[in-house]
Amino acid sequence: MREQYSMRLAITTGALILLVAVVFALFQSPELLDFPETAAVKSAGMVLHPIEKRRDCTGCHGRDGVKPYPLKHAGWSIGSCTRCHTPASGAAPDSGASEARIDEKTGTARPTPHPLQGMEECGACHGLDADHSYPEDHAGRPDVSCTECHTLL
Amino acid sequence: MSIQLVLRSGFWIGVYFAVVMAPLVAMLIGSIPPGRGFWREFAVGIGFAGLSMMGLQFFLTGRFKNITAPYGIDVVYHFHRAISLIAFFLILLHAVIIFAVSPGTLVLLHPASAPWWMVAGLFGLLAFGVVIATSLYRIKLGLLYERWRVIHGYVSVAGVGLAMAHVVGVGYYAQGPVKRGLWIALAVSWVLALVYVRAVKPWMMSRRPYRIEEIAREHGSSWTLTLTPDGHGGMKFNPGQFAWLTIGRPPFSIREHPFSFSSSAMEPDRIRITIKELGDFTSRIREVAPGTRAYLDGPYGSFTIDRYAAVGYVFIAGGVGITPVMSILRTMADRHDARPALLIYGSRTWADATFREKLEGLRARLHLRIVHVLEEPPEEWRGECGRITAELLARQLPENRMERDYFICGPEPMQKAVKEALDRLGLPMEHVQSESFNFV
Repeated sequence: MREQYSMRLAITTGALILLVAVVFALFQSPELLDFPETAAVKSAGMVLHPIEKRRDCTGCHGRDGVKPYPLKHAGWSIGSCTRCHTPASGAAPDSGASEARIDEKTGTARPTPHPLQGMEECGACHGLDADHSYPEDHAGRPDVSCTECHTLL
Repeated sequence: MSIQLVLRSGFWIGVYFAVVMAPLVAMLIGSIPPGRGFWREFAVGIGFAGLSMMGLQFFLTGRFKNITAPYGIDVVYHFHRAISLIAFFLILLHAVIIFAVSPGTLVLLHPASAPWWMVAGLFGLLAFGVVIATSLYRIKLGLLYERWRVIHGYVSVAGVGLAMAHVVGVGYYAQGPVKRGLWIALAVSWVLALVYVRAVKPWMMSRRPYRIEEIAREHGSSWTLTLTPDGHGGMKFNPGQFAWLTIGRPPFSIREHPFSFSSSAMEPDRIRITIKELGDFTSRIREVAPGTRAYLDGPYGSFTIDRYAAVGYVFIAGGVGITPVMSILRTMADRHDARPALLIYGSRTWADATFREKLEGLRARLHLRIVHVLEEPPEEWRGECGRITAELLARQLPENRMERDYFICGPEPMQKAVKEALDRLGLPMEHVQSESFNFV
């Protein structure tokens, strides 16, 4: 009887803890309850480049990317990045980035003036040694990431 | 149970729950980091609660009398065992959920790139797993009780320390004065509990030593140690209680074992403890030399008539379970307690019936009836035989059986069978007291 009392007490405690954890998780998931998001993020860095058409941040910021996110962010969903890292107002290009790649009208990367069919390896023509080389700060970026910013005309 | 005890037990349950929940509440105070999805936050919540529960185990097993008094220490120890399983389940679930909902986090397990806080978390989880496995399967693993206690103590501390390092290293909900202050307060309280249990309390015990005055053989492969206080007044206890005994070693050693007092509570300066040869430590008890120094940590336990006032009592004992009953009967005799008492005492053979002559002596001083029940009776035996069953109890219990309180002490299967038998007879279970020490 006494052992059962202890067991019942422990199970009740465990159940209550699960319940409180659910409440906590719901509180931290306002999208599930349609709460206005009030959480302020002061520590997360601003996004210093335009993100209008860029959806998959992991292209450049994945673990193997040019500017990988910290290990603590491993496994976070793609959509969660911009919940903390908001674009700076009038998002300017990275400091030191080439002005030449920015379209003056849109403020975004210049569009690709030629079709891409059969030319998936951008680095073949735009490598650092090529005539139409990309800026030095683009070195190391995978070919698939080019069209995320440089879209077709 | 008195109203005061009920209130005290409710208070400690409330305190326990508040401390377990404190990290979750603190996470929502001050600057709140943004959520990372329901399942990830749920996993973090149960992980924090699990760690807090693991840290609180130092208090549950610290034998703090204020905490154990309202329930009885056996209830607290059983709760410790049950809640450990739940805490381990929560911590394991924490890891499983995070890896399941965010497979990208598996990169943190890569030996070449795993950050230190991930390694700490992993080893902490492993340590808790070792603690749980060695506790559940100690006998199957062939671990001696003393060795198990050492492993249990050190690995538990390592587990909690590593888990704490994991929380600090991840740091997501450990920023800001409130959150950081709470985790520091929790960690400090756990360390203080450890220091008290492992250093302060043994030091206090070392100032109240005992000497083994005599060691006497009893029936049923049992031995009675008589302890006399060395330079102090002894230990006041309630009849039926027990203490942790350390013999021939300093009290800082964790080689201590719980045993019931068999002497009268009216003799705090001449304490007797009766021990049956059952295991590694107890089988060597006969070798203890008179004059050996000993230490007692106690008294503990709620198996006492002083806690449950009744018009009369029924004691049902099996084997060495007679020991606390002997203490109760001796105390009743010394107090000239005239309340009626019935003792139903099960032994394997007549030769195994510990204290049988001394019980006869007590019959002359008390309103006491004794029923011996022998599993293997001699041919000339005319008394009760076999096990203590509902039929036997129906024959032997007095007419006012509903008004009496029942105290059962003996091996686990015997206790279970007797409780079921009493239940079958329609006796109210709140009048049935027992203590169970089948912890590991």
